[in-house]
Amino acid sequence: MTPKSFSISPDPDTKVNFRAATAHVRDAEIYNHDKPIYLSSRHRGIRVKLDIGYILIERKWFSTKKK
Amino acid sequence: MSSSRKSGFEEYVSYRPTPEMLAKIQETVKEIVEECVDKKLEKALSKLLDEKLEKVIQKLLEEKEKKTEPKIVTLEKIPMEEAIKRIEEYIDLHQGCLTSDIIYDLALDPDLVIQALKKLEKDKSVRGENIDS
Repeated sequence: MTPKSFSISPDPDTKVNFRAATAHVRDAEIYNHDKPIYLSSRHRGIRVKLDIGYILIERKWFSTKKK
Repeated sequence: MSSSRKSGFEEYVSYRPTPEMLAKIQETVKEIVEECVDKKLEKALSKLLDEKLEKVIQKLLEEKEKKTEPKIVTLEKIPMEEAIKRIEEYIDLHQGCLTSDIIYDLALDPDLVIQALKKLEKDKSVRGENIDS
């Protein structure tokens, strides 16, 4: 079980913003791929319905070892 | 179709072949026959047909198996020390990799990977960077 500090379960009707994430889900359905929606005033994207799972907010990892 | 060829066919195909498979087999047979007739190698025709058909059927069956049975990645839980070692090696080789890359390439449990990364970052063995726009 993930410690609580690494995992949250937001209440329904919560908008989760992220720059990069990977969804680990039982099923995913893409809606109207040919009809993009506005994510913000500048960005457009698609709508994906996700069923049971979690979203992992991504980070980039680098080694600190000097070669 | 000779008896030996029929038995070979039955050995590999224990179910009804798909139309795509049959079309591919027919196309291969046509190619082989044309090739042999051109070269006047009628005697070798039967042997060639057996060999080539077996290869084609085997290949088609492998392709069908790949399509129908998706490979399921099992994300396993291993001892934390072992996970830390593997993750550290992976990051050494893949600078700038994402958390999900580590999870899926090493096939490790996401909870385990996150905890191991936090520990490695605390020990200053690796450096995590948020992805900003």
